[in-house]
Amino acid sequence: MPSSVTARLILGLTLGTTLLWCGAVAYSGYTSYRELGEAFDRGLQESAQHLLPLAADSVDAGGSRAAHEIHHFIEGRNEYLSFQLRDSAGRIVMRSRDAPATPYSQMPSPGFSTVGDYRLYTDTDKTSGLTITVAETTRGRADAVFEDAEAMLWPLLALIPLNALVIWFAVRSAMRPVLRLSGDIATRSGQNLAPIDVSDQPGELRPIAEAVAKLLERLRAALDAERTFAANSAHELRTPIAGALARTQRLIAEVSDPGIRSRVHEVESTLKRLSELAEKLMQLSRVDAGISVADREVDLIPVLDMVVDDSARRLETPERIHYVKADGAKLCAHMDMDAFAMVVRNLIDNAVNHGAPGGRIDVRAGSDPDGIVCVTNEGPVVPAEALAALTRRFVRGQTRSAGAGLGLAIAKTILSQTGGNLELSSPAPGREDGFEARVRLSRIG
Amino acid sequence: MRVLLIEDDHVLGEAVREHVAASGHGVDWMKRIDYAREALATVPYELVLLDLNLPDGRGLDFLRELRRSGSKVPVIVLTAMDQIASRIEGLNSGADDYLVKPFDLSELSARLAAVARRYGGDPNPLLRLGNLDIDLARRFISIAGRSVDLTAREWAVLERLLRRPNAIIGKSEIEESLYEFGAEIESNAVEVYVSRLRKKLGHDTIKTIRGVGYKVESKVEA
Repeated sequence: MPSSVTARLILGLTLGTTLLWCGAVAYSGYTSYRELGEAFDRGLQESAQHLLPLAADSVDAGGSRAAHEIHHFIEGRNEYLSFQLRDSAGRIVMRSRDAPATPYSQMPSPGFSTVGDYRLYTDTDKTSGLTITVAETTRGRADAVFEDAEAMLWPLLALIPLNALVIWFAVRSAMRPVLRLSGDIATRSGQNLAPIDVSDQPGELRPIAEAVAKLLERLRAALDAERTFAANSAHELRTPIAGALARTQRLIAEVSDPGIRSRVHEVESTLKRLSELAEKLMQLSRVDAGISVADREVDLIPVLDMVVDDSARRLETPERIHYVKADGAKLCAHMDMDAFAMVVRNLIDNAVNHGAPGGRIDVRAGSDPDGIVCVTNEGPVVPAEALAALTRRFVRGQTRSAGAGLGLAIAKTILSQTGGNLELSSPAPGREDGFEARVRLSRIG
Repeated sequence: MRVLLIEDDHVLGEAVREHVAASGHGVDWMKRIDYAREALATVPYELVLLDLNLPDGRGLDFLRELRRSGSKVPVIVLTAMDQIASRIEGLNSGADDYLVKPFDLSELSARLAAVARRYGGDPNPLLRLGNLDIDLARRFISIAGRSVDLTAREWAVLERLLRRPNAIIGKSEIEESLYEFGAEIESNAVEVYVSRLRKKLGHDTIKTIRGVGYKVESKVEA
């Protein structure tokens, strides 16, 4: 059984109507068979009643005129008709040309009877004692019925495909709202939860459309709540961390005892690690809440400018970052600005934390129509197997520097959500050492 | 420089206030927008540090209101919201810089100095004044290659004078930029700092215009 409702409807309806038609043809065939039988019988009887006096006359008079008339009559009726005239002793005194020389039946009963292939009508002339039996082969009748049935069957066979076509059209047009609704539902995703238009749905579909609309509404509310929570928790977490860090730094500025100072420094660096970890977890929760895809194409060059500038200003020597945009560099994608900022920030942080200390960091925006950003740093070569593991969550390279092991995983997740990709290579292309992270955005998004 | 800090978080606000004051600036700390509005109406602040989530409103609305009223005071936004969109909104609303929490206090100092310099019309932090080399960003000063140590208050006075070279800066103007509301100002505080600066940098560095104020006289070269 095909799984498409359209195909099932077309098949079922076509099969059903065809069967009904065949039934109707069979019934009308049967009726016409009966009607024809009666009509033939009547003809048989009339022939016998017409022939009997003529035959009696011709036997009495021995005249050939009557015999001639009889033959003429028989031949004029039809090829299936024949007769035998017998006297009261049962001898055949006259028969039509194609009638057998032996009697159709030894003791023909008066009226209608069927013997072998013949339909007989027997009548006796009381005065002369002559008995006539008019016979008609049943083959003739069957032919007539078949001809009749055939006349009805051929147009029917021609109509079956036409019927299927009409049904196909009707079903297709009736299914259009269903297809439209299912198409509507299919376009909905984590990034597109626009409400479904319920107003122009046919009555049967309205409950489904309304249920889907309600479900989408609840889904949107849940996703919004998750995204808002992720954004708000960022705010709620950052403020106390900022307070603690600032207070600690004030303390460092104020205490002169070197022992206490070094301990407060430890607190400061722990707070910074905590801050960074909280930051990454918040990014992860925002990414998992599905913020990455934007519903329109976004120009990401200004975001790149902003993030690179920011990252540079956070460094002790901002000149470490060399930022180059190729002529006609274009970064357009269906990507949320914050998601892209997270990607770039994480790649630069990664280069700062794990590259050679104080080493040069290159950020390049390529002119490739796909949108390419490369972040390259100096530093020792990362072995191939370690490279592959770097984009997994909480996996860190062979390093003693700070980092939660989340940055590259976040970048990779965002890029795979938006149809782009992240390629890591070490040594950096065209060099003998270093590390390069290469981001390719997706044009389609 | 007289700074207005608008921040409702007690711990962070206190630390920032202390830090900015320790750099020799006069800081007033307000925890609500309406207090900040009053303060801005009465004191000619040279810089505002603005938190965005305040108990009586959005910091950005206040910033827009400020800009609409024609105020050109430099504003650095301090916020826990790092969304690019809110940042663009902040810069479009007239913020001069944007610092996402948590931040290093040293970074705050650098941004503060950069914004103040931009408004002083000279974004170059390196100045040469006679035989003095002055790096305002790093607060480093040397006479003929020999470095000189200045206290935070001395720096603040010097910065105030250097921001408008050759202009006469009134004593009260200098006082205002050094002290916050309610601080006890000794009547001769400014005289004391000026005389210490003269002792360290040479007597002719700062001229006294009797009865009016002080000025730094020089062509300031890059």
